[in-house]
Amino acid sequence: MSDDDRRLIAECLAGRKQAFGEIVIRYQSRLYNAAIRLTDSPEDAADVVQDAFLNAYQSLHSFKGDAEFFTWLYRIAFNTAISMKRKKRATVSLDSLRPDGGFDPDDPSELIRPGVALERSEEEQELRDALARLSFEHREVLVLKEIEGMRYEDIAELLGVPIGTIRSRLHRARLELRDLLQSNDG
Amino acid sequence: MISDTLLKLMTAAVDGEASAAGVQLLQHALDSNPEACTLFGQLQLDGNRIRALPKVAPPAELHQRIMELVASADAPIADVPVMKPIARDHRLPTTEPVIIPVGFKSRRMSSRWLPIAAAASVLFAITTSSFMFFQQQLHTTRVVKNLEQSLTTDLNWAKLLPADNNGLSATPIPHGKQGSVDPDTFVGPAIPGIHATPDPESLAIAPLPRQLRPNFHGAAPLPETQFDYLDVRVPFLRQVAEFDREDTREQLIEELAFDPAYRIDVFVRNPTRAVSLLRSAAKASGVTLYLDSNSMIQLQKSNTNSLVIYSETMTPDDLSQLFAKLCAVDAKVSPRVFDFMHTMAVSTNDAKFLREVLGFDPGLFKRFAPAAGTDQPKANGNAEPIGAGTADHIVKALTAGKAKEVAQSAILMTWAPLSARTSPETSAEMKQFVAKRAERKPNAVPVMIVIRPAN
Repeated sequence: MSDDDRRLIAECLAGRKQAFGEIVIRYQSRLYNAAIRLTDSPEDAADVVQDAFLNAYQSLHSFKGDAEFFTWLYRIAFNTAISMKRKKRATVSLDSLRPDGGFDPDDPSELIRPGVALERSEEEQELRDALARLSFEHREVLVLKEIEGMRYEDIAELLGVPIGTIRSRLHRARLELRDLLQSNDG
Repeated sequence: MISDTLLKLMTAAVDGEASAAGVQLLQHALDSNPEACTLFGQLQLDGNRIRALPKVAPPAELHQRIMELVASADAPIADVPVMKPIARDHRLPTTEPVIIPVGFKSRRMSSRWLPIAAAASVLFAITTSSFMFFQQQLHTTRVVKNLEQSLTTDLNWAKLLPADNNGLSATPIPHGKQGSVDPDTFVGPAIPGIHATPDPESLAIAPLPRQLRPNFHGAAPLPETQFDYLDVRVPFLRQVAEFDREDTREQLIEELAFDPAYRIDVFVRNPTRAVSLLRSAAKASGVTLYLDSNSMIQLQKSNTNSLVIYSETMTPDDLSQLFAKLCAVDAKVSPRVFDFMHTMAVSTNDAKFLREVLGFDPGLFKRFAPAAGTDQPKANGNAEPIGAGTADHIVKALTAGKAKEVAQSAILMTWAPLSARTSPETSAEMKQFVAKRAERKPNAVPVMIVIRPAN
């Protein structure tokens, strides 16, 4: 854990809420990007990040510092995302909300950002669709591996499953993704 | 056609987690298989495409929203005990720190009363102990006074008491020299049988507790107590790591010869890994270990960390070998999973709980009844002479018995907490275990191995 994180956490535990604000600024973008790949929805991703930070704040005293703070935060966010996914599944399908299959353009930060055209390209859309059709288990390991660049050991620790499971999940996820992309091409 | 092994190698290489030997093997395979080469390229490309997905900026108001929520939330407290993570999903056993709604406000309120409560507790403890102490003193004084009064009326005591000491000897009074006291005046500790049929002529009393001597170092030594035979049985407590030694294994075999059934508590550092190692050790020892699937789920969810393995087919030798195998498999992992093991006779309470876990009475305290045709030698001396073919018959019988020998089996279930236990009627593994049960071997020892966390 970095010294800055340690200091900010200590200050936060001492009652300085602004310190937690700095933590939020530091990690919200990274967390949001991972969450958006998991939930495939900007609103859900924002909710996941929001809930994750709130949970992290309330249980900050239980963070022992034996792992990276971001790993701990990630763990909370992942579980929040899973819970949200379950609730959504029980109510309404995600696809029914997004007939075009893309991100909701309501987010102004996306519209003003350069490269939106590229992001909306057909190829990217195809990849997003394929990722969205993967099972949550497969998607989460791919996100952790490819976007976060984590090693098998770290992913296993994060998800609380054996390394062998991670290896086989990633193996199946890659082949499944390939099949999906290939069927789209065909 | 691409083999499954090659596919795994390819995905591992794309993950960047293939070993050097694996990479070499893959390179060789790709050179000779164009189809595999194409697929490998596509997999790599897919990975690159995911990584190349542009970053999305979070909504501008996200930070503000979070900080508003944080502002309205309770502040974290540095000295609150660490919460236990509770898994909500069996795939994620300990990943989510769940907020337990203990209520920080109530905690802070209770802390105000803490000093008062502590002071009240101390005061209560002092008052109670003082009361008990003085009550005890009064009782002792009364007993001594009554006894002295009785002694003055019985001259026989004068022969037994030391002349230079007013106090009573603590040395047990030889049976034949016991004196008698007047039962009407005697107020001493209750002696079973005496009060029921008081006999003023031969009423014996137990010696009073030894009195404190003001000059301990200068006092005369107490008479030695002689024992003809002294048998002290100490608990069998060993580290599992010690079972690679022959003497430890033999000691366990000796220990398992005393009682009809045993409880062995095995302390482990990681119950999940312990079960996995136990399974390997059991397999290596030829023991079929049935794992109750619900118990395994509870274990994965961290809802339980105490499990019990019951077996009634293993002999002390088999158990000793099982622990030897366990020691061997445990030595291969670092740090070791198994800590100490503690062996003791099964208590009636243990037997009761085990009955509840198994759903049937295993008959732990039943003694083995010799089978028909294997009667004990006749005591009246009418034993028949051994015929010429008897030895052959014995050998044949023993060989046939080996062929029909019951396979060793054991069942693993949740032991504690009660809420995490499996109902034995619903456990498929328990049904299999019960179906395989057979007549207990004469030298088999029913044993319950309780796996418990080391701390």
